[in-house]
Amino acid sequence: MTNILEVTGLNKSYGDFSLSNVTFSLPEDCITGFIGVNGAGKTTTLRSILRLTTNTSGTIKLFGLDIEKHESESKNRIGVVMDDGGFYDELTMSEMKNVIAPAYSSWSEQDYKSYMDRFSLNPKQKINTLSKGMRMKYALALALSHKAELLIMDEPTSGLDPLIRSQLLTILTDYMKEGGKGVFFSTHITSDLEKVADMLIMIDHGKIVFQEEKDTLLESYRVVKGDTKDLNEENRKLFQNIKTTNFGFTGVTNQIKEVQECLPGIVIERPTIEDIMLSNIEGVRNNVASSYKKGLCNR
Amino acid sequence: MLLHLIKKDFVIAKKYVWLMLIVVLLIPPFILWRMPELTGSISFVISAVFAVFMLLMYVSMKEFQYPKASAMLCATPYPRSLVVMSKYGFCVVIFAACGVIYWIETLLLPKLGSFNFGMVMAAFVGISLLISIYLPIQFKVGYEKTKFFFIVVIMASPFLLPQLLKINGNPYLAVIHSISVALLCVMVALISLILLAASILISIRIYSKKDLI
Amino acid sequence: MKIIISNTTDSPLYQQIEDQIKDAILKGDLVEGDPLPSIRGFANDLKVSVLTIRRVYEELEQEGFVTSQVGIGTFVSASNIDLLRDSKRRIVEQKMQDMIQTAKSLNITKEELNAMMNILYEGD
Repeated sequence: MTNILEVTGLNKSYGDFSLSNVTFSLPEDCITGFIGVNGAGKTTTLRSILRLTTNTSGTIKLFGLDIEKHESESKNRIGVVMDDGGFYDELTMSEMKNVIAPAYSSWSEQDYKSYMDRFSLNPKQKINTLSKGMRMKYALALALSHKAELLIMDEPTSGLDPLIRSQLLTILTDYMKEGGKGVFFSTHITSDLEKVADMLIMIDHGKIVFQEEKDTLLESYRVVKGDTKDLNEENRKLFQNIKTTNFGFTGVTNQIKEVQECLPGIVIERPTIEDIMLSNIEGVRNNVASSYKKGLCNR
Repeated sequence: MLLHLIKKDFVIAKKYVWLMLIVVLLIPPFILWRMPELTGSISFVISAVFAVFMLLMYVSMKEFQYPKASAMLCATPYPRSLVVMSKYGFCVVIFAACGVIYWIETLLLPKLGSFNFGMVMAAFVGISLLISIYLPIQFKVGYEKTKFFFIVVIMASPFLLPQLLKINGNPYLAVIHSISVALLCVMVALISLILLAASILISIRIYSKKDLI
Repeated sequence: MKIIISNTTDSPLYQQIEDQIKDAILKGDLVEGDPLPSIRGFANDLKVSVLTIRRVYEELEQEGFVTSQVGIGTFVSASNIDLLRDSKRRIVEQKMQDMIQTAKSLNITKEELNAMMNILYEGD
């Protein structure tokens, strides 16, 4: 299976924040979710891919071609949906389209018209009169009307109601049906990804934390609830993070078998992507013992 | 592609383009009526400077107001070099339009004087000089920090320009008068083009290194 | 074809899906030549990742239950009858294991069990 996008060793410094050695790949025919909290580096990474930032080291390959050397060609194959659109708000949708469309060699006016119809958008309407949801749909219409093979979206659903978010997910799955395409979806609203993501990449403090298939990830973690009394210094290390209340503890672990051996009477549940993301954030995560030694449970 | 980018600036400034057209149309007759001693090509120069800089200022302000739109443009296959060149192209098109309007006016209202090609070229050099200096600076530090430039130029031009042209006794002008008009025009055109080209290259270099929001 | 995924068992998702497809083939719900759903469509309907479905199809193909043709799809290929038979036997064995375990936990002896089976077998 080929990779649509390969990012290797991306480094970029901005004063007090930097991307360090960001490396990941987007497989073909997959919707890849890019998760992380605000300020983790998602937007910076996307901007680097789109060549909006400079002085970045590392290589980025789109369909095997170096983006730096084949910039126009690569951008022709990428559809972009930025957070909040990126439009001249005083223009009408039609006027804005006439600014963007000529940039793309495979622009399809037909596709554009059919998307505008499907989304019930009137091209003569001014962009600053659109609701947030309509803006996002318009941005999608533009992004999907030039036969793009990779759709990059930066927080497309923040501020949108559940209905529109659900409609967006349907549009994405339709887009993927043809095959040979990919979606790179950066968001901190992980519930959207539960439904459609195939692959998940997490970034925190400018570093990639993991890249995993969504199902594998959800299967390797568990949420554990039990009696706080049963926790000790040793078995705490088995958890990524633990919250305690007067009534018990809740912890997230990726070593469930060891936890089951050590702790009695626990309730085990499957995690959400959000549980996993939160437990992997630096500062929240305990130092997890990576290799479990027998005899760690002191009972 | 370049034409589309230039067109974009006109679309952004839609309202003001129409306004400017009317202003440009009205300035020469107005001067003829109120300040007849300044009639002639000077009124063209004033209207050209006015039009170019007011519209450039407005478009720059809008670009500053919507920084994500410029980022979006650069996320498309439009090369950054073309985005830079389109700003210069925008100014040149405005200037050309002013020239055409003035030429038509001189045909319709003979009192305005004849269409002085030399003066048009002089205006072209002057405006090219101003743009060549200003635009790279704007690309570097942004509109917000440099907008006073526009205000100065627009406010000062009606006063400074007549002063500049009153130096008829200047010995240098005598030299210039002795060269044939055609040759003069060619020289002037060349100087302008070199200025603009140099400025464009510098601006492209600056913009290519810029991080966009 | 009925595929029901449980979020509460320990069995991995892909295993559950794979087993249920195999069951369907062995029971005859799916026969030779029947197409399996497209990877993307199947993934959407089950709300799992395409990568999981892809793994399921790959393993089914390796074990001889399906064949896939690029660009066309994946089809049931029950050509390996012995394999099927063995698998069917496995189901019976599995059920017998369950039965034996339950019997043991209720202290039912092997003789009692055999007697029960004889009665029930004849009864059909």
